[in-house]
Amino acid sequence: MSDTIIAVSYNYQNTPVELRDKVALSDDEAKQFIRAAMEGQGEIKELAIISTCNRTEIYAVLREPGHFFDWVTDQYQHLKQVNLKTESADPTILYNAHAIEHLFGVAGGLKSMMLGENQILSQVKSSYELILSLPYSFPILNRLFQDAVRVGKSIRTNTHLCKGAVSISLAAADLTRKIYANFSKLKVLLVGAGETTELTAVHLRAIGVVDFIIANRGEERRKVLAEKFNAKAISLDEIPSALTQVDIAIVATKSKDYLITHDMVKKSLSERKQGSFLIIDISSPRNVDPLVGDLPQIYLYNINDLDKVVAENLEKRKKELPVANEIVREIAAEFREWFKTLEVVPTISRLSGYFEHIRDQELGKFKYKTTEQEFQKMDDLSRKIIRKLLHYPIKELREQNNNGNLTVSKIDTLWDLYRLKSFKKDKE
Amino acid sequence: MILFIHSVNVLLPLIYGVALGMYAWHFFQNTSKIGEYASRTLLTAIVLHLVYLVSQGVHFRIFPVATIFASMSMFALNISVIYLIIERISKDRKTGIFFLIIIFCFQLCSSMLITFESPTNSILSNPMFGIHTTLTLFGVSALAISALYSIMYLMLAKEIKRHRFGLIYDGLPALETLENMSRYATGAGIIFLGAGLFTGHLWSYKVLGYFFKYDVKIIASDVAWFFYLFGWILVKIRHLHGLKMSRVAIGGFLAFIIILFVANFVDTTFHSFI
Repeated sequence: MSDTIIAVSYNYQNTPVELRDKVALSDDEAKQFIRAAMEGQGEIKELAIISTCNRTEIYAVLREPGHFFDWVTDQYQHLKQVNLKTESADPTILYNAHAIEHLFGVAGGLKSMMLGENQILSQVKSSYELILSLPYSFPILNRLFQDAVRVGKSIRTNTHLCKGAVSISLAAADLTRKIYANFSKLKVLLVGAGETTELTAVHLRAIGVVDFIIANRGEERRKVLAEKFNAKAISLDEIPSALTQVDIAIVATKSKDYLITHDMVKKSLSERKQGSFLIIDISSPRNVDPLVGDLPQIYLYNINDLDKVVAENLEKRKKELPVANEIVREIAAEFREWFKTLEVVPTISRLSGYFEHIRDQELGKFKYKTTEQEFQKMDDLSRKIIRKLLHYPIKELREQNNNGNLTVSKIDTLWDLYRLKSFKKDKE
Repeated sequence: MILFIHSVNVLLPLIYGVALGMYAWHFFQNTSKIGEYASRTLLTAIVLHLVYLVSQGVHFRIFPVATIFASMSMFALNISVIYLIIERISKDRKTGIFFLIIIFCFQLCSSMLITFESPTNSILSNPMFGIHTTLTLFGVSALAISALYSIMYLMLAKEIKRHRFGLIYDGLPALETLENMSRYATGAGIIFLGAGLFTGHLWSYKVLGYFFKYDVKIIASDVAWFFYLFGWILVKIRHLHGLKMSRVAIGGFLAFIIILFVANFVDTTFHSFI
């Protein structure tokens, strides 16, 4: 019987966040899992793990699909002291074609909570690198993960599935990219020290922004955030002077008044030496006078504008799904084709068995009609003939398999020619 | 040779047209492979264009910018070369469509209206003439490129200001990149045009004995160049950015073209003394 590929997936759709946290595996824990599988005497031939905040997935190649989930449960109990039986865990378990397409979908960002998420591809790559770093052989998962990375890249190159920001803070970072080119020279004013401001600052820092000024009413919170971003902390009264120095202002407070007024910005324009000025007002109610947007060189966006951007981008991404799914299907079909060619070893063994069986049958007819010496000679001769007859076909099968030229249809033809399937049944 | 020159003359607008189509496809569909093919097609067109100009030079013993339509072809080549260099440096092919429209129009116009004949004036065969016109045309091409980048800047700035995220938004690089490219191109344009005009004066001095000869085109070009230089210094001193700088670049180029057009209308010869 051929090998089985299995995927056990705990993800944001089937597992609550508390349990996802428990089943999440660090690199070291994943290595322990893999070691346990590879050094055990069980049914597992290969094992790999993807673990992110939204999913923990265990991929394995099994000799016999049977008790793999029990093994996973035992390992969690043993290595992490997590009892999955009492946690009422209900992971998705997929086999062969479904498991393959699932992994490819994950790498392509099709299965992500945020459709077309980019980070997942690097997480799949990390999982792949992790198995490569271990002293075991993973011939099937090696190829499977290589193809998964190929799917991820192909989707990102040939579709718009991963393009366009799909969160407010990412949309702010995207706008920054469209206006400025040299991020390390930018100076950003963050008004408010809440979660949204912080998240936007994180995204801006990720694209290379280093210079921040934090303005907040509460002194303690602004100092904490200033320390976090190595920024200068100022009070709200100092905003007008800060406006003359910065390229971007992100405003997100709960104030009911305008913290940045038309006059304030107009006055700052005469003193500014910088060019474009991006102001993002994520507050509700708005903290930046909408008339500011009428001033030259000012690009003003409020939360509604960014929400619209996010919604439009999500819609654009959804339209790319058919093409992305087609890429997944194509590469999955290629993989399955390759996977089936691994059946060359059973084919050779079945073919040799079939010839040996015929030899035995025919030789048996002479067993009591000849002397023992003559029979021995006939036995030797027939064995040599069979070996010579099979030499080139077997050699060719092996070579074609090594060169990647052996297709499923060739193997099928061979099995049909000699009726190898029914031969096994007869013998059994 | 003449058959070859005529054939390439027909072929060039066709190849530029194909490249334009590919750049347009790349811009609208964002297909990176088509972008690669477009870039290769443009490179092929440039090589063929060079062979075409050299063939003309060898066959007619003339530097191939002696007539207005020959100059248009040289102008198309200059923009192609400068654009391709920028494309290779910036690794961005999305702006190609804007340049190829200009290149295609100029080459088509040149191919349709050019007449091939040997020069009657020996000055047009002088190597100094080649240097003068090449530098001048490179300068004008760079200024045209600067104006194009500024137009792109204004288009993108308008889209961002109006919160519209269509083709222009997706297709063009960042405002700052466009501004920088426009600034570099203006700088290069002022230097090349200045060098071209200077070699013209030097040549005039050697041939005619006057460093400055009264000629409406020379006066117009010198005035336009000084205005450009003044504008550039003004931009530097007053720290003009973005919209203002783009408007200066576009206005400057338009003024330059209008001055040259009027000058050409007043005096239809190459220069009044040639």
